[in-house]
Amino acid sequence: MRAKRFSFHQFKRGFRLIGVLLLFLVAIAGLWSCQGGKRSLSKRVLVIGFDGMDPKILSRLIEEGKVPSFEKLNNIGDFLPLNSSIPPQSPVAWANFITGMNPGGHGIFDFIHREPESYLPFLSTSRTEPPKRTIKLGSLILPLSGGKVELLRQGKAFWQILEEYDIPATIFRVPSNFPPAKTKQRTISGMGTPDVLGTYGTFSFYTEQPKELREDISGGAVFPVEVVDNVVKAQLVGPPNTFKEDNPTAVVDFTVYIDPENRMAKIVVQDEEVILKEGEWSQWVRVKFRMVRLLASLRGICRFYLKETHPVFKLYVTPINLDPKDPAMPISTPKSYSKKLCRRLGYFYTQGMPEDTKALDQGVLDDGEFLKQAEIVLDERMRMFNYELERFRSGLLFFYFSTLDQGTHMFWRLMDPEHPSYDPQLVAKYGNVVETLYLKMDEALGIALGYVDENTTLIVMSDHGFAPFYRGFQLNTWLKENGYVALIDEWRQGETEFFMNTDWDNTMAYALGFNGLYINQAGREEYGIVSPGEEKEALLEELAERLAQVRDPQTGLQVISHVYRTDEVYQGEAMKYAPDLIIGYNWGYRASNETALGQFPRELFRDNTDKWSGDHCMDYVWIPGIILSNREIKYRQPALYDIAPTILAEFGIPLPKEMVGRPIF
Amino acid sequence: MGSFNFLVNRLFDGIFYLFISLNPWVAMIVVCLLTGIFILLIFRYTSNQKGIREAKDKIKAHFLEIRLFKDDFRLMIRAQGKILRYNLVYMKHSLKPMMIMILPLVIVLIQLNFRFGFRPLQLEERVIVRVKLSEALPLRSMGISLKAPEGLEVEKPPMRIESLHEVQWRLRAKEPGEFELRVRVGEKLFTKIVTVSDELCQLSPRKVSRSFFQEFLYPSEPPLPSNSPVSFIEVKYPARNLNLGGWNIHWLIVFFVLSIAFGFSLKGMLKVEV
Repeated sequence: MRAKRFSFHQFKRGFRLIGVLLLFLVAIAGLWSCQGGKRSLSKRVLVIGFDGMDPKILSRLIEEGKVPSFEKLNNIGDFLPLNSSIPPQSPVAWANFITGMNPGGHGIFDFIHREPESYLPFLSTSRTEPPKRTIKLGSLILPLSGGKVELLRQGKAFWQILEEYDIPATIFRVPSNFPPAKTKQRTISGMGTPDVLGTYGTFSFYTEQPKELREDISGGAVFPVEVVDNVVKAQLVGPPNTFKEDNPTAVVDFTVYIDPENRMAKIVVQDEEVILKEGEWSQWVRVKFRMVRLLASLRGICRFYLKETHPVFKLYVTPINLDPKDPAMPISTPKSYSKKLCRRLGYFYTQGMPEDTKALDQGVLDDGEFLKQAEIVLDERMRMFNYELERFRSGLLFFYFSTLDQGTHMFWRLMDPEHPSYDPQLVAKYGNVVETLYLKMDEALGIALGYVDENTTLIVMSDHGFAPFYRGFQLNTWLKENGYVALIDEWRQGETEFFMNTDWDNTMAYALGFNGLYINQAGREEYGIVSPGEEKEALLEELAERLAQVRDPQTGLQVISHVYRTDEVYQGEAMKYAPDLIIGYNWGYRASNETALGQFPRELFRDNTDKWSGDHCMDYVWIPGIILSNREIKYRQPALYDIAPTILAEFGIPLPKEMVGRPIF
Repeated sequence: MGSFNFLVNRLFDGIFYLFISLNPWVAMIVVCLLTGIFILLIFRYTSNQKGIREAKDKIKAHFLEIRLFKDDFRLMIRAQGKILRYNLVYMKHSLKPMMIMILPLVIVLIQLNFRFGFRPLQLEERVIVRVKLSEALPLRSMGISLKAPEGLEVEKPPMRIESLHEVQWRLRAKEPGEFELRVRVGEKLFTKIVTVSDELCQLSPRKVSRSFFQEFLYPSEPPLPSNSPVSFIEVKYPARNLNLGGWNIHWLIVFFVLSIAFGFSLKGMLKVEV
């Protein structure tokens, strides 16, 4: 009988199957969205890192009553200068902060290190290795193993120690942490995170008149374009396509349609379209570089800035950032954290230092355009800051702001009439930029103070302060002029970089990076000639003494205020890449850019006429950072490496013996 | 076509009425469940159920034959030939319901695309409005303008692309609601609906010229008048994806997976041989 077929049991079985299916879907969604079983704590430590905040400027603004939140924190707690690292460079300083050690422990001594076997430089904080095994199929090269991105910083980060004690932490964009150290805590990498090209940020500039710009553009690429019938066709340039023979550059075509009269244009990139007026920034635009059709692609995000449509077409494109939804390299722990931030708050700069100081320095962006871009960065950060504060229930939250550092680097020139780049005509418009940035940081602090209760320890800190960069000192040239370096061809002096023209068999010492000086030591360097022991000791003493006596012939001022021996100021087991001496430059002086890259220009000093006018790669005594807290600071000479021990102590965690710092409360 | 589109739109509006303020997953699951049942019922009443059952039984039997007599090569070859044959028989019996299902399913997919494929504008969001002309007309001299009601702001001036016969504007959403844009091309006036909302509603990304095929593909809004100089008016709504634990999944994948899953789950209950 037909009716008998629709029995109760059959209905039950069908519904049971549907039920199981729905439960399965709900369970998957639940599993993905849950945060894991972290212990709930009432104790909270909030650390805000304002890169480059200077105690002298901050003190003045507090006295003038311009930064009420800092003033309030100073009144209820404490405010002291914070000793920076030796040398006070950001990667070194933040590694001190992260590990509670000095460079002898974490192994970061400069932005740049050198391989003693080749004298060639490499970036100090991370290393990328291609896949070791590949297979060739026609013109395709397919990897059989994954490539590797390695964090070179050694030592445990304080949030890894917190994890061992089941204390949750969120670490937002701390420098010297790319790729992020392995942890289950929420972290997202900051300074050191590359763009899709693997550089620290390479902008693109499309113009009909490339000759208006300097020929030696660094930090970006200039592409000549033609406007035909109000249409521009160009390409976004990606990384080399390692899946293909000869590694051709991956590109994405884009088209710009220009209105014949109105100063606006439409940009079409893949399936994205944006209309911009002259002087406008686009929202984030997703781009996809196809490496192997249907198999491999690389995703990035960028913003367009329409600088000019008529009479000369000019279009700026930010460095193509790693897409936080699908990053080609690890940028967060867990991997889903960057995706989650993106989903909640939209796309954001993932590149380490997003403020495009290079584009400003090269004249691609002007002061106002740079400031607008920096404002976009800060707006993104503020959205994320609010989001993280809102969900900060227990444990530790560290949040990093870069805008003040980058702004002070670029606008010191307009608040210091002695600076070679001082321009009185620009002062009225941009002379207050640095102060304005301090006020914005004050607003951020004001928001944070609203979340601070009796169970919250608030630490506000910076890694260093600032000093003017008036004159660049060519340390390698000095070494050459004083007989410590010999060149192969004297007449080619100044033409090459990375010591290409150096006669190593007759060279005793060389400089690389912003503060490092190395002895060409036998048994360590490939062509070392100075024996370790007495000969090296004597040379180190001689160099330290003579360098401290160097005077600027233009001003008569001492150029180097102190020379530090690394075997005296560093402790730890990570000394492999340590320089032998750290040069502490006097107020107003710094190693020239040429010195940092192993060049030997002919002149010994160079006036700094760049827009990059404030700096901190000097003697650390000139540029301490700041520390403020809502608690009394009992140890009155705090240093960066004291903060990690302080955080651990706040949670009652015993200090690891490797840490050289101490709790300050 | 207009009446047909009107009826189908209202039918789906009715189905979605309960879900417009809920998570899109709820509506998607319900739609998939209904689609799964619909597919099963079509199968049940239009296919040769007895024939399908027999074909499947034969296939099973010949598989069993292969397992039992795997040392008899000739028998195995013959069994495989028969499996192939009954597979074709099975496909023949399935062809009729498939053919009957195609048109309704395409209509369902078109309707779902304008609900799950795009999301309405949100407050302060900008969107591009594109007017495509059907022929090369003098864009600069013929007076093409866009007027928006309160709640929307047209950011001027327009962007004119002569090589593509297009005029485009940026539009900013200031208030929630359904608004009517007024596009003037010379002496002629056209309208276009724009939706600013957080809800799951039917959107009209493109208002097309009068043609059976175009109207079938873009049913959300009545077409432009005949002999219009405008080929279409488009609002570039953002794409919508269904989010599952951090993964954005295209609605079409979800639709097919869930509909098939529901169909297979319910076939025993509805006594349908698939």
